[in-house]
Amino acid sequence: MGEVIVITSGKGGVGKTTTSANVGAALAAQGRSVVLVDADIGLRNLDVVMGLENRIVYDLVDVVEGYARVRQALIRDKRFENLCLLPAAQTKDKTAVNPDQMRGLCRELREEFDFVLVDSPAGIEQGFRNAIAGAEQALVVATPEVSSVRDADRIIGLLEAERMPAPRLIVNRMRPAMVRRGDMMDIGDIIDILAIELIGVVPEDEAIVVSTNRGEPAALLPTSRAGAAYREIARRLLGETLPIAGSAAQEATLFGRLRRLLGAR
Amino acid sequence: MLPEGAGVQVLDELARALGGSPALGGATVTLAPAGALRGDDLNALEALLIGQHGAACVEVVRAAAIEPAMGRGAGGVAAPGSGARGGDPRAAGREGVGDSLLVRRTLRSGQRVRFTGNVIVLGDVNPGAEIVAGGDIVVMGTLRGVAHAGAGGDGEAIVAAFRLQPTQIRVGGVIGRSPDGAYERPDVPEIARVRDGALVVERLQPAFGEIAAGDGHA
Ligand SMILES: Nc1ncnc2c1ncn2[C@@H]1O[C@H](COP(=O)(O)OP(=O)(O)OP(=O)(O)O)[C@@H](O)[C@H]1O
Ligand SMILES: [Mg+2]
Repeated sequence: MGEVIVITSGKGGVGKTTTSANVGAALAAQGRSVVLVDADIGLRNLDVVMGLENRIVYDLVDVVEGYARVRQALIRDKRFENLCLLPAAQTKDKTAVNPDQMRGLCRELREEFDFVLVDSPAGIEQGFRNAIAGAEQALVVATPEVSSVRDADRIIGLLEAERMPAPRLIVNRMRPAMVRRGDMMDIGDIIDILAIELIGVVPEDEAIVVSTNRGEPAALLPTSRAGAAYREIARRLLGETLPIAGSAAQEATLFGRLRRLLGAR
Repeated sequence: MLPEGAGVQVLDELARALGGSPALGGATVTLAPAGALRGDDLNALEALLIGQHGAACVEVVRAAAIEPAMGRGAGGVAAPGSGARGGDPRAAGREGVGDSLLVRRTLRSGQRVRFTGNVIVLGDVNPGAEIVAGGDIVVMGTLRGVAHAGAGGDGEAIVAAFRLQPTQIRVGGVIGRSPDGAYERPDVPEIARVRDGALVVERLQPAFGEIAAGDGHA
């Protein structure tokens, strides 16, 4: 039985879809069978990032409404045959699906795949409710900005209320030079507030933009720093313990925090 | 994490009655328990009403019916050295009196707790979270959100926190907000209260039962 993991954030545009595509591709590259579920109904995106748009016949809504079987709707990736996508519907809205249907769908998918990654829409409304319904783990994506961290905190509160085990955090679009100048929140500041486990820090990287446009996940490019960060996140999901790149700052802050707790600043 | 007993049944029934929909979109749910309601139960109720059904906040009005969780006396948070509570007929004085609600977790953005007595939080109060208390507020963590103590007009109420970095504090009718921009945040427990009509923040030094004045920084 596979793991169902929702990728969510509250705030829009922080990198949920990018993360879903890249972590999914990296897990597939590690030999796991993975299905990416685009739960952003009405704002379909994941297929484009994966470069699979032209292959869509049926979508998630067709499946839950019984017009197509899951197997018919799944699109096999170009690069990995153990990677599939269940696309969102573009012409319907999120009320076309309810949490019970999503639970059923995820239950079915986890029988077949090692990992079911659900790309959540932004917000805390029904689309978010649908995305988390079938999941038993969550990855929360935030960028190092006050508003993004605030929304991540809101989401974590809602996930806690759902009795979901502690979600793990991905900080995306980190710019170390800005952090050093004191112009960007550092990892320590973010962890101080959110108080959840960090599973990865993804740097700001132009390769993401290029690869997104080409429909080729950066996690498959050996030269992309963001891609490397996504590959590491995948390995951590598989249970490896790796030091988190860019977390020198984090350690420094942890020490700072300890010192502060001991009252020695 | 519910204790056995009536709370569980009520919770189950409530969950069944509400079904699976976020039917309470943004509403304030007022709880008026007839019997005792434990802090744990309240947490679970909040999780149900706010977390699953979209209520904006849960408030408890029958404070007298709240039993302190963890079996401790209710008055452990009264501010020593302050006088009798004015304007609140139920509170005879500030020491060892008043009902307290123990919130045993971090309040995250969008979560609100309203309570007619004192509120103690074993955790942080994050930016975007809010506590409104008829009495005092004590945060055993970092207070970054909004705290309104003495919400019924009690100007003697206090807000204390292990780290006091609030967005805004109100005591009775007096409002204080954090300075705009970066400011020095002392790494010590602090207490905010009204003195001469203005909100002042002082280092919390409760060791001798008296809160030292004079080294305040705001
Ligand atoms: N690490 C990064 N470096 C550079 N650009 C990035 C990075 N991560 C994401 N982006 C860019 O940010 C934009 C938004 O990313 P993405 O679509 O993944 O966000 P999202 O959270 O899924 O958005 P939505 O809430 O609309 O679904 C995209 O244009 C993407 O290319
Ligand atoms: Mg997206």
